[in-house]
Amino acid sequence: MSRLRASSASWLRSREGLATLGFVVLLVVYPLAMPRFWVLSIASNAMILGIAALSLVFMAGYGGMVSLAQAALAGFAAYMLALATLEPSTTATGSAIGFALPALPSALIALVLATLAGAVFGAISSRSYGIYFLMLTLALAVGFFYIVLQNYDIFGGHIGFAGILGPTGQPRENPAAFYYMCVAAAALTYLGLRYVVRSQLGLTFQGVRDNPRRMKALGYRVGLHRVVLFALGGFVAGVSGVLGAWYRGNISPGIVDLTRTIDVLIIAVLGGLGYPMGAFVGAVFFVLVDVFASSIKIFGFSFDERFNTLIGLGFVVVVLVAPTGLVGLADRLWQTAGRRRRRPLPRAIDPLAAEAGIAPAPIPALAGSPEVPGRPEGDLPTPGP
Amino acid sequence: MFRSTTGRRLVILLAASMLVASTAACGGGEKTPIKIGGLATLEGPFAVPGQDSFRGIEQALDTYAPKNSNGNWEIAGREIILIKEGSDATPAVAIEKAKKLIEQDNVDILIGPLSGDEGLAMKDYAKTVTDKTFVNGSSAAQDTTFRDPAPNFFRFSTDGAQWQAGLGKYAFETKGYKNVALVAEDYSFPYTQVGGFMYEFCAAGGHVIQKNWVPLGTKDYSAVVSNLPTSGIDAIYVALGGSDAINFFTQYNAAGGKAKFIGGSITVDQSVLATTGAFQDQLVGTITASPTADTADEAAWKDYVKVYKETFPDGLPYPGLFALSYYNETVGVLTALKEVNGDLSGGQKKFMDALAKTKFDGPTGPISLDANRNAIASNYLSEIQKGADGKLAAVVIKRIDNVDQTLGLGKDSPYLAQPVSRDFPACP
Repeated sequence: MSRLRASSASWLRSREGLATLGFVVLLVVYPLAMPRFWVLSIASNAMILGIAALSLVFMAGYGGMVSLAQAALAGFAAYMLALATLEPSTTATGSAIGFALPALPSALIALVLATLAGAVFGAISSRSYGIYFLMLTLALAVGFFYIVLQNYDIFGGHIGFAGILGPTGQPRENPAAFYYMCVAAAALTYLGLRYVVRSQLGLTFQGVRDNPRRMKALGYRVGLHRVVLFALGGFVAGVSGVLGAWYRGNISPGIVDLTRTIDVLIIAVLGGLGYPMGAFVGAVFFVLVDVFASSIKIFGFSFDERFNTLIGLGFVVVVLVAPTGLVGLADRLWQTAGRRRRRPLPRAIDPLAAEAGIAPAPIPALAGSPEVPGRPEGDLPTPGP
Repeated sequence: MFRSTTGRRLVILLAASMLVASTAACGGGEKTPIKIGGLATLEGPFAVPGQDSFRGIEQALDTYAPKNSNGNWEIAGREIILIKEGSDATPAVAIEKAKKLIEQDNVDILIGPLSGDEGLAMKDYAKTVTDKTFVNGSSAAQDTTFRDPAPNFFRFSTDGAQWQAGLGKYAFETKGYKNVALVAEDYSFPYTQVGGFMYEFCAAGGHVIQKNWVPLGTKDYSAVVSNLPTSGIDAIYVALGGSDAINFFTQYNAAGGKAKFIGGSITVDQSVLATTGAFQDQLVGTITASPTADTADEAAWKDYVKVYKETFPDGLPYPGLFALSYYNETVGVLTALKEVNGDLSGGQKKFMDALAKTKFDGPTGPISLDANRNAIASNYLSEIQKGADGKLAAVVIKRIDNVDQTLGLGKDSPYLAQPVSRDFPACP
């Protein structure tokens, strides 16, 4: 960041600077030029889903923790927001608890509680690795789903709550304001996470990811770092949950069910698990396919009752053609084109990532962690496979 | 070439955004045809009923807006375009799909959704889009229309409480059941069904002395079975669906339970009756109520079934509750469209007024709307009997016409003072 700021004048003249500027202008102009549906249901919705996927990409990329609890943490934040912002209910529906606070203090409370919930989830699951970690976080997510589904006194049961208003009012009545809020939140979480991963803490996260045993020997508290990482993931997921609650105006257990849990993973994988920006690319792709699959006609054959087949096929194609996600695919195409026209670029090293410490590193959770149970003790130092 | 990957990715994003923008610009079209959006559940446990729902819409269009020479449905000189969308029975997805139909596809009239919680969310959404008409699909939550209704939301099907019309009274007066325990799934639809049964049963003087709520999809009923009283009850009211019902009946029978049953609208349907098990004999004499009856012998119903079978050879053996609901909703819409001669101008005011006054004879009897735009329609009371071939079947006892949302108790009845829930209504 500081390097960018110091040389901002020359940076702005560079092509990267121009591209960034163009992109920012596009983001700003977009809601003024587009119909409401495209501002809210496509762009804002994609931004909200993208932030949830970003929390997963962050945890997977820098901590090797592929968590399936991110939708649940987002939902937790949404429920906390609702309890803070709504009036207590006196009838059988709604919650007996309610503090009737304004939108922004409620959001703050929700985010703090989501961070704490992330820490609690982390404390429960961070001692396990790989598939066991995946299953533990899935169990936590499904457990949370059933709690909110069956609990009427606090969580409002299967109906949940309605009437949650954000600081910009009804998104429908002021789509541009809501959209700018989503853009700001997405940019802040993205830049904030970039800052974190460049910091010493971020480098420690990666050390813990790559070789927990060696980090332990160096005196780092591995478990604590994983809990802190999970808490940060909880915070980012919470941002998504709060925005999502304001976007829909209501919450019900349907927002934390298994489908939504897996949607977050799909978006992250679509964009590319190693690329933070992939979360947003994946989310835009996901939302577009989800919304328009039922309108697509191929050779006169309508998919309106079979749109899920089309969505599924689309995802299979993406995973086959681009195992590193859409951003990974674009990177590869760009490099191939560049090599043909000019000179071969060093394939493995991403320049910005190298300077920032953002390497699309292999993910131990998927590739097999050095601490998978069953490994004999004392085989230090662990060479990579 | 960009030296940095960030710049390169941004260019890709930029290009993608341009593509999105250009697709968006292609939206919208000519205004002449009437666009109807159909929303049903095409994912999850209600996927098969969702498909049957669309059959209901199409059959109504075929019948009341026959296809013109272009092969399109036409009524009052205007063509009709049907745009289908599928949800997964969660309110959030249903509303997303409704927004797509209303805001992107510009439909004039939306027919749907299928399930209760979706319906409640749709009512709230309808309030924010006052110049479009929302017509229910088959969702049957009471408060979609009963409390705090939306002026542009119409329901030509009945709610889950109306589906139990006649049952409580018959159980008390004819069957002589005075004390009943109940076993039901713990979500909105069974609450509404239990409410419908208890309105009549409690008002007649009966007592529901114990309520057992179980999570949807429960396999092990041993705790419930041992909790049920062995004496002091005349019958058990069961509102479970599909495999839940089979599991409960099997385990209750195996534990030596002897009580008679009263069934909810989906408790003793063909999927339960067609199974073989020791509990089969115990089901004989079970009374139940539902807005459809496969074996009803009215001419209108038989005609409707005949057309359904001819049009959809790959459909269900009988058009189910969902097909019939969507059929009736669509017939209501088409009747009103004809009445106003296809005029949807002026924020659809004229059309909505006509829709609120629409009356027609559906396959199961006359349908009209009350002041909250909810159907006043017919309901069937049936009893499970053993046929000559030894198979169980639901035999219609009688059809009850003009059932309103209060089941004849009136809006001020204490039984309707609160929304239905685990604890309300109560008559222990």
